[in-house]
Amino acid sequence: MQQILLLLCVSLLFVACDKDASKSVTVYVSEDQVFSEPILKDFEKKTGIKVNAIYDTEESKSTGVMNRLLAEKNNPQADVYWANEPIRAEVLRHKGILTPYQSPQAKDIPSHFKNEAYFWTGFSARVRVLVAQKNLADKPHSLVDYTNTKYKAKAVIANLLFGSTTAHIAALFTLWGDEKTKQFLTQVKANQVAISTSNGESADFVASGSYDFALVDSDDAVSRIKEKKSITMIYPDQGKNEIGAFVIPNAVMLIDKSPHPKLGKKLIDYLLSKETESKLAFAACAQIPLHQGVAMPKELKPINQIKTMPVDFAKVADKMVEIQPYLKEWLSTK
Amino acid sequence: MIQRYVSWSVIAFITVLGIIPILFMLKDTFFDAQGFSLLGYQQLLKNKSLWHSFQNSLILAFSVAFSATLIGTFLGILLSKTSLTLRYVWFILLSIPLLIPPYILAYSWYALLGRESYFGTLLFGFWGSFFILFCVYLPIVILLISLFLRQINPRLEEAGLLVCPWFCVLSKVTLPLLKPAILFSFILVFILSIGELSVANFLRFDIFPMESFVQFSAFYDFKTATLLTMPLLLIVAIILSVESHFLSKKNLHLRSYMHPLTIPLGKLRRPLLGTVMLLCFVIVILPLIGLLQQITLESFIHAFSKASPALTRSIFYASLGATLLSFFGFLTAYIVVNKTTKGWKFLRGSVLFLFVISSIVIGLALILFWNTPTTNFIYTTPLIILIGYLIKYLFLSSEIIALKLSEIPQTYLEAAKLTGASHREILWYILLPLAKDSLIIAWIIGFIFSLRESTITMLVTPAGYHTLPLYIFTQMANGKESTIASLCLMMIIATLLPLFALLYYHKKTKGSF
Repeated sequence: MQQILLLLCVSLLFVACDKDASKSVTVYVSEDQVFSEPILKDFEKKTGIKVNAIYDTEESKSTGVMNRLLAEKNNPQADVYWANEPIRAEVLRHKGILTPYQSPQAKDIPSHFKNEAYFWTGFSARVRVLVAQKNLADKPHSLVDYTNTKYKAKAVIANLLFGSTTAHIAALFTLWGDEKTKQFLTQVKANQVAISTSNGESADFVASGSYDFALVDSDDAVSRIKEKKSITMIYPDQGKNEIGAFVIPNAVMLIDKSPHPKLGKKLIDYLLSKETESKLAFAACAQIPLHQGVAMPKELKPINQIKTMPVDFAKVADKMVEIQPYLKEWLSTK
Repeated sequence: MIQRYVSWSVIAFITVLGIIPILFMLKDTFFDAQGFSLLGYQQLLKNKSLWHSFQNSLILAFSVAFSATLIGTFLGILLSKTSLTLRYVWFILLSIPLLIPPYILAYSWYALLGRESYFGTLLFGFWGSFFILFCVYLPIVILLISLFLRQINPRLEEAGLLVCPWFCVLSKVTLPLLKPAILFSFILVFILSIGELSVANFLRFDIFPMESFVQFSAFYDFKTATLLTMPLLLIVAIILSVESHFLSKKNLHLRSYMHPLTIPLGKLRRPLLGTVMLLCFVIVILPLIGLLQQITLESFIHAFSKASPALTRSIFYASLGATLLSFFGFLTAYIVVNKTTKGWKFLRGSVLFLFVISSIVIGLALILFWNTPTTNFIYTTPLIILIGYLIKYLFLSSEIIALKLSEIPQTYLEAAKLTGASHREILWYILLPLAKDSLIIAWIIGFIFSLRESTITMLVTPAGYHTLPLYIFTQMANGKESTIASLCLMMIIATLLPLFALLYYHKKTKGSF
């Protein structure tokens, strides 16, 4: 028994001995680990700087690290936050958790994909696209097709309370205004649109022939096209008077009073480089580079050839919080 | 004097580690910018939409607890008191779901049924959540009933058999004597079910803990998230006060009888054997098939090479956590059973409160309290994970050990005192050897629960120290299904390790355990 207690004490001492953190950078990551980890490993190899990463989990709906950043405000542990969309960056900016950093790599990134004071900078984007059955004669081309009676009970959308679908709906609220968007959603409901648990599931439903079309992220569409599933990807609302596609870049930001700001800046520079964008374009997530002239797979359109929805991510962030009760009610009523 | 000093030290230790950080958070729910305010609670009472999910939670927890208690009591008697063929094999098989983290069991069923089949659509919603939780918590009832059956004096049943057959003895002697165990099982399963979030979250069933989770995940509002855990705490407090009213400690004392009577099954042996085999197939084999069908040797090797550091860390932290739980569980049990100080009620209430309160609240409280420059040696190292394990599961280990300690006759201790033995000697040479079995069980239960823990660790794990459950959850976002299934299998094997160790120990000690 005495030996067990001795062993316990020694083990606890061993556990309490922190590893040398002077040559390491801590990054909190909301981008999926399967895509982000290889990039961070490459950074380690290239610079010799150790990366300690905390990844978001599916269980926490990708908000675990965000909440940690908020809770750790008075004694930050992270140097960098890699978010999979800029809306959380805006929440963090409002709460005084970020500090501006203008990376030299951010110069060529279009201005609407970065904060004007450089609290965050966007890179490698997802696009909200429509996926339709390949053999569908009359394919949808706009979000408004969700209200088209031609597709009554034949369209599906992911749960509006979570993820990029919430952001997309909030973006519509900022663009169209409350009245028009609520009217749109009422018509969507009247058209018996099905609700799935995720974008991936929506894409699978379309691929299996259960529904004609769905609104998903471009990575969900490209991954299924690569698997030779019978779907086609449509960039919505590309016409002259249409609103354009909703583009969601990753966003990287420096944490205020972080333990290793210099190393954090090096990591940000690396994440914003063309090299990283190209890697993320060819990865299974198939994200569209925001720099010009970056190599990418043929399934993707260059960002300058896509008509993008003009959104202010700060307003989208505020709207997302505001519309949650409405969306919950919308989902619960028949 | 030493006894009192140690007792107060333990109480102070648990208070600093767990109670003060949480009271810090709870305090905020009673204040707003103007000062003391109950506005948050008033709004909570007025919000009708919350009551829908609250009702869902109550129905789900009650259904799981009722079904698991009913069927678990039947199986507990069947597997430990009858002449059923190979009953120990079925006993071990039916215990396996308890060793598998609930979210992995849910994932296994999803892997087996898919989303679009008839049963796949049933899986998502109330029925799926009910079924998974039933499978996970059924073994708890079976184990408890088996354990409590050993305390029934066979002479009482023998006396009953003189005047009526076994069925009558069961209903008039055995079951009435088992009432405390049945009630205790029901309450334990109810508490565990009502706080379980991962299964309903995965299977998209709207339950009340989700409301707190949404406040936390969508609005980043810690105060409201904490406030929303209060109604469940209240329900649990009511149920526990009912428990303490109906269950006196005396009823829960264990005094094992080495030769309990066995019920002959006669003609019922085959149909009952068939039923148990079918149950094992549905509850244990089918979900394992769901996982295994997605795994190839290549995917398993690949997953193992990627996850081995996380697996090693998980086993190491869970072992340390289990050892701490056994150590403090023993001290807590000793204080509570022997009422060594006036603070024993506070201590028991505290460990129970920490067990019942939401893991999200515990995680956030630990961050807000321990993340300071002076306590970085705790917050930035795995010590913070161990604190999380300790405060969350101390109730389980202390209760297990308390059951055993309360069985030790006071005369042993009095005799030792009369011969001049010190407190340390009594502890070292009498109590610890006599409580050895319960310490081992507490260690195994502590290991299992620590290993599978994901919510607190999700919030407090320092960068670079992630555990296997966290790795599985991060892979669930767009990872390959074969990789996820392989990781789940690894998790199951790791969880089964102490069971194998226990069987080895059982064999080595020639069944004395």
